[in-house]
Amino acid sequence: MKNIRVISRMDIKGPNLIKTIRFEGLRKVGDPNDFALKYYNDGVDEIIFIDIVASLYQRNNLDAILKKATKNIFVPITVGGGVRNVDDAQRLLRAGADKIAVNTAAIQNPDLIKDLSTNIGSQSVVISIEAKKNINGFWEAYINNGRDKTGLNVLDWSKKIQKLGAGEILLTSVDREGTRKGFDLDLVKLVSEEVNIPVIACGGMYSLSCFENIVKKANADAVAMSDCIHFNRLNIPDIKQFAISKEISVRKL
Amino acid sequence: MKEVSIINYPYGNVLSLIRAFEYLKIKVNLIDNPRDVKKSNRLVFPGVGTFKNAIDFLKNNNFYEEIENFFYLNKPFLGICLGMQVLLDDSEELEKTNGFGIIRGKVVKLPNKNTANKIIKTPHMNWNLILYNKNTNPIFNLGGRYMYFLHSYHAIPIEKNELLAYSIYEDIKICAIIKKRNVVGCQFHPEKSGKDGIKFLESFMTL
Repeated sequence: MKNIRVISRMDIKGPNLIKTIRFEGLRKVGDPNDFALKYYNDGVDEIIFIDIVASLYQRNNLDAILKKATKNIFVPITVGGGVRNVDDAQRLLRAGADKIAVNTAAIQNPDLIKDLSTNIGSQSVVISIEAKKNINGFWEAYINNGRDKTGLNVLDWSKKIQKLGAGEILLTSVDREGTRKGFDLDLVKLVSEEVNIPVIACGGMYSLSCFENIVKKANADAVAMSDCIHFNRLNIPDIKQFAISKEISVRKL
Repeated sequence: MKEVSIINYPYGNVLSLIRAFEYLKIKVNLIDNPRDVKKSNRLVFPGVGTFKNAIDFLKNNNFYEEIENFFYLNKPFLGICLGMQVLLDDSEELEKTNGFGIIRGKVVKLPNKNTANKIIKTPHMNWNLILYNKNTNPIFNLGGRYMYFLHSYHAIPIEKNELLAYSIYEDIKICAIIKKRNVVGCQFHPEKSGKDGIKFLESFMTL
């Protein structure tokens, strides 16, 4: 038996926590450190900060947010957005990150995954996959926050990144992200049953039943959420209590 | 003001550990010089990476003997994660490498399958419930609490009374806390285990 991790995903632009719909239609939510601290006190198991404009501008602005977060938040923190090389990753680890999430740079240069896992350890390498079903009926990996297609089949890519040494997959459905339509169960099931590294399901959580479905029907190892908690429609203690009532193991506070 | 020394192991996230002690209003001395081990009254070694790299690091930087002396003086020592594993006799990670051997036993890879032949995902990267053996020192009693684990190898101590607490991952028993005299090791990351992790570090400060 294992515990399902409840993760808050926090998309950042400049100094602000923001929320997008299908990676577009950006709304400002508030101060990322305030929200992170609230989630920590509520019993979140992990926090993911993604700088959503970093890969376009090839820089990451999360150092300041991260430095502040390390003072009062003591759960694992993953940071992503614009990480191009081992130096970027090491800088973020020194600033207080535990894991580094990479998408665009890993697709452009898959050997980066090997370099990262050799230098910072597989356990700290999270490969973020932005998946969208294409007209040929297969899941295609996108880069630059769901903007650009790559022709890469998500299933093939998942197997490859595991082989290259990734420690975990953050799997986001571009079609469901921020839509409140529920997770894409087929996508998550497909990947989580193919790889033996943990898969974090992301994109579409809006209700408690979404949580139950993604764990029981799609075998997610962890569930990332943003919209539903940022706007206070759900909160972490309720999600965990619900999980326990459905016999899903979670960490209790 | 209470003080703790942390060996500045250049891999991974030492900052979070420093912050966790600072949160408890404890002064942290991050030490690069092995001679500073002698001056310390309380020492923490937070290791990540591979067993062999950790031992090589300690030996090449002359920390190894200083730490052995520290054990001999029975000052409180805390090894975290790989920093716990190096307290055992040896590890099979990459190539067989000897550890300090202060705790009898070895470090082995987590199995890929559990006893029911079900595939186990590794690393064990999760919060896990801490279970206690009877007779556990009450200052480390975290029974019923959850700690954050992140590892692919695990320690199998021989002496039952040196294993203070364990966890179950799938159906594998995972050594969570070991202790011999004032030498303590934990497989989980207290600095990443929320308020209960902070409490664990606070307990270490009372040794």
